[in-house]
Amino acid sequence: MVWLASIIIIAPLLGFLIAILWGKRMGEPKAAIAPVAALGVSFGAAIALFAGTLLGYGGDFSYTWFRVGDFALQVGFLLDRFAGVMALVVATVSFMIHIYSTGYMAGDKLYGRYFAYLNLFSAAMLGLVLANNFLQAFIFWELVGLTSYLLIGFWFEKPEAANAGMKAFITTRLGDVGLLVGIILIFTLTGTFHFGTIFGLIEYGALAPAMVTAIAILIFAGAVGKSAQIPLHVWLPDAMEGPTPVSALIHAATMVAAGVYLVARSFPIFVAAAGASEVVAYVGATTALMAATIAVVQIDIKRVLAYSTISQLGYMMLALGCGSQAAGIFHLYTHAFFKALLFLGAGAVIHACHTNDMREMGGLGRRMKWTAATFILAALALAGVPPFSGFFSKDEILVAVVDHGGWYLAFAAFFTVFLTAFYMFRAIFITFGGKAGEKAERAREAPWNMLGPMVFLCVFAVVAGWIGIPGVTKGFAWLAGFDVHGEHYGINVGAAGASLALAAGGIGLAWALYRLKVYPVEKIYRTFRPVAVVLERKYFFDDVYGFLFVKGTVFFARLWGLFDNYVIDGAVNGTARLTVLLSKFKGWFDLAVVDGAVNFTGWITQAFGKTFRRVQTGYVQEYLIVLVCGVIAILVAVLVIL
Amino acid sequence: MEYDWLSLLPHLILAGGAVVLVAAGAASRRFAGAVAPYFTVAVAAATAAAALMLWREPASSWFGALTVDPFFVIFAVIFAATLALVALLSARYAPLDGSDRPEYYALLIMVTCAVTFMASATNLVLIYVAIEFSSILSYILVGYVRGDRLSGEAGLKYFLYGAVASAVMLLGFGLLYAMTGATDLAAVAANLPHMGRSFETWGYVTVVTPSGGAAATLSPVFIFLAFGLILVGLGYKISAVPFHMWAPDAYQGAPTPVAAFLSVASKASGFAVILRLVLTLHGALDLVYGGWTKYLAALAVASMVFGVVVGIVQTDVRRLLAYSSIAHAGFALLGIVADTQLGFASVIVYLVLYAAMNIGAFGTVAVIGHVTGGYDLKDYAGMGRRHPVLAAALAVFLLALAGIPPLSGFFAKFYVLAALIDRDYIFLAVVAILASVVALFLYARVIKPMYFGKAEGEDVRRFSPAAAVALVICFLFTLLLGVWPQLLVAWAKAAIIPLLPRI
Repeated sequence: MVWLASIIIIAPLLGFLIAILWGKRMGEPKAAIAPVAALGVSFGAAIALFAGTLLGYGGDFSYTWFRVGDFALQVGFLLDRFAGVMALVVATVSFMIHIYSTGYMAGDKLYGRYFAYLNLFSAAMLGLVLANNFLQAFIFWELVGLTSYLLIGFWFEKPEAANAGMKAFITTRLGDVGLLVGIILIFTLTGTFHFGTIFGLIEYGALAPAMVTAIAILIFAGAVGKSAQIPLHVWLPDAMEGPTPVSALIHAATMVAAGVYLVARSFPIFVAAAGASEVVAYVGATTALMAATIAVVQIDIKRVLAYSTISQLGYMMLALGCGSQAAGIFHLYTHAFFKALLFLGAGAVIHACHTNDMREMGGLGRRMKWTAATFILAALALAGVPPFSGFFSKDEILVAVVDHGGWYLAFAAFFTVFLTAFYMFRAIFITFGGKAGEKAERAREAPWNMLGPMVFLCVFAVVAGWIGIPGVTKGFAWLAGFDVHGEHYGINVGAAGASLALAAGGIGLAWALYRLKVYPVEKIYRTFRPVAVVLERKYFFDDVYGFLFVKGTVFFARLWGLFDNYVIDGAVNGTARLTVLLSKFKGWFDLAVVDGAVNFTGWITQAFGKTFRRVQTGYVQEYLIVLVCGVIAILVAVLVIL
Repeated sequence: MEYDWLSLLPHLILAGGAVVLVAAGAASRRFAGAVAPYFTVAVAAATAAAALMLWREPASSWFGALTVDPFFVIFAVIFAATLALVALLSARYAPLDGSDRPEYYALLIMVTCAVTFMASATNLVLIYVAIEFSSILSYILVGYVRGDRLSGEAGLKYFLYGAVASAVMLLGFGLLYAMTGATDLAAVAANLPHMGRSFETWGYVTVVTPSGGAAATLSPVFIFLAFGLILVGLGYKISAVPFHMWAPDAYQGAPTPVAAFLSVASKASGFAVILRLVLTLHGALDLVYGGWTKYLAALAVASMVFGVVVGIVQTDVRRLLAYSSIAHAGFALLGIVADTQLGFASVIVYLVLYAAMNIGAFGTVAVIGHVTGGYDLKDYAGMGRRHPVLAAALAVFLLALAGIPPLSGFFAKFYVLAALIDRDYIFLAVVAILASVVALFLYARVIKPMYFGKAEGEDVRRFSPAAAVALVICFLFTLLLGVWPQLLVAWAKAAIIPLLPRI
């Protein structure tokens, strides 16, 4: 099992090395061979690992990395069913997207590097889900963030892409600071990073409840950044500037789910900290609702999906906050397949039409039959229509929310179902239905290497949820080996019926408005103009952040400038000497502390080097003189003792 | 058992191998030349196997002249591995006329035999003879390139320098003999006035003055003087400041694989002798006024600082690596300065890890020199584009030398620093860390042109697959030992524990 886990991580790492070193030389079709093959190996190993965990060969494998005195740093793998499921999901989606990318990225001048990054990402993500301690998890967590940054800004000539990469990096870093503080806090309190030991201590009640709550909140802060929860969600829509397969893999199926994964993995901490769980639930519910409402007014097909992703991640968090680990991860698992598929479908459409604007598409259903069919099936899964996968996972979440109680949570959960169905079918009717738009006229169906992965994922999007048919299959909690603390597993007819009705309502409304056009959308728009503006400006998050952080910095800079002016003006009025002194001090400070710290070290080192090298004249006589000086120094030392 | 032939086996395999190679060369130069590198690898493998077979309780034989213990085994394996890698790197190496000459490999094997004796010798005479033996062979190897003025000059300089240094050292050995009337290290230790102390608890200090012999009436000053003079010779072996001046010239002039050997095996053999002397004569050293470690510390700090500072302004990569190896000698000395079990063990760990990455660095430089014909920094411009794999390998070796985790250099430094901090030598630790920071700049001077420079010039040769094998081995060790140093640390401790002084 440990070998399998190692292969899963090392294969893509090797692929990364090959692609980064030789990718450029190998040229376009060849550069993809090693990376795709590496993921194939990982995929195979992940299947074996998953089967192994189901058969009971899993376990917690720790090794001492190094030991100094009493402290031993342990590394290892936690190979339980949960890890097995996660590895399988990540490897499957990643493998499919690698294949899809061979078609989508054809002709890109950084073809080899793209696959190198994609491989590095896969290695890091797989490493994250297989880690058995916080330190290892954090290292991979950061590596995942780095590759995400590289891939968002992959087309770095585009300023939007470069800025989006930076925005993602900086925003998620905020959460990561919290996570790091949390991990350090855990280590100072328990002296270990090991998941099992920490959870055992917390379940035993060895830590003060206030501390457990603090740790939970700090871990959740990291998850908020990575999983794009409010208020750190602003980076994900911009991340859509990256290549679409990247959005599918990283910003829909896997990396953004890492936050959800981390919270689920640390579930014992959240169970012990009820207050923190409430925070998780409310943040998740708010995120789900807010992002879904924003998705309703988007016109960029990828942004619809981006807000949908944020919303669904909020949904998963909501489930975790309501105390159902199984429901949250079940949804993560089904969501990975159908959301990746939706992005791949969107990618195929964008590839064919060379635009992201849905209004310029239209009528693609006839030109791209396979794409349209898979897209619609995935959308049905997302909307929660039986028998597609999303229905089962969503139903478990709704049951968990109803059991947990709280009118706001229930309202957010059910209303989001309606909104989800509405915005997805709005997008479908605009994109695939109606007359062909200006850019859609010459659209062709995607090539086989793009369609193949889509069809494969489509199968999963349909059947993945069937593990959770009550009375027929054993349920997802069994599959992932979760301890279900008396949660009942079974269909809640009320919740299922209500959600089905809401989904049908959403689809029907979209059908009526965008297909039958029973009432002009523009008119609704004008009637509810204030609401529309709020939604279009995304609840002003970007504007507020722009004002507070970007403008704020500029404002302070200006203020500082005024202050300088004032002092200088004052100098004219008779305090010349003081100003000269002040500016001298400022100049000295700049030179000595800011620049000097760097430059001075380099300068002094070089200067010394240049001086000392004169000693090395090349004359062996002088070398020997230095040697004799050494001997004399020793003799002098002896004499000093005398 | 006084006549313990088994304990001589690693030495005998090497000596025999060299003789066989020379004889084969006399019979058929072409055949012997063609197989010489691989024959050398086989000899090295046999030596390492024989040495590992001798991993057992320390046993002294040949009337105390030779001691075979885990300490010896580890060093013998380092030397054998170095020999094998250097032989692979030398195969078809252009500056050696491109054709493989059996004598060259015979010399390499013999110098390995000499340094192996340095690790096992426990008699002053044998130690001295072994050091001289290895030095003389090194002079020949450095000046091996016929018709190259630089190589001949380097060989001569090295010889003159070494002759003076070993003469001074011999004076120290003579002084020890005069005081104790013995050349056997154990007898020397017993006949010198010494301190008994518990190494574990730092307690039970008693001064023991032997009743008989001249030493009874000697002041510790003479003991100190003897050690000081010996330090000159050993300082020259490990190229520590101020006895380092031969190194840059020798490394630059020598065939680069030979420089790799000198910077690794030769240096390690010096450390082997220092460790053995320090540990055997520990009680006498403790009588040195104000503590003997502070003098070694001065040497270490001078080497580290001087090595990196002067290294920064070098433009020849071989000279730059020579200064880097001076700095590394200083760093490793700090482990001895710590004067604890962890400290001594950290020196061995350091030497093993340093061996892999430094042979790798010199080896890559040799291969690049072979392929492009250049050793200057400006010849490295754009290497990242011309030879991405070689450039990446060199970058990894240099970053390992700089001590960037997770490469092996990080752990090498880490254990030395841990030993220093354990003894509250915070100042030394801070100096060592600062020197490492500056050293990063030193290595960055090579890495930068490789990736940010513009490529020019044409390749003149293709590199040999044998050298590629050597580099891959070094690379794997640099990577794997960085990730998994635990086993090595356990071995180093096992080697040191039997040597620790007891009351």
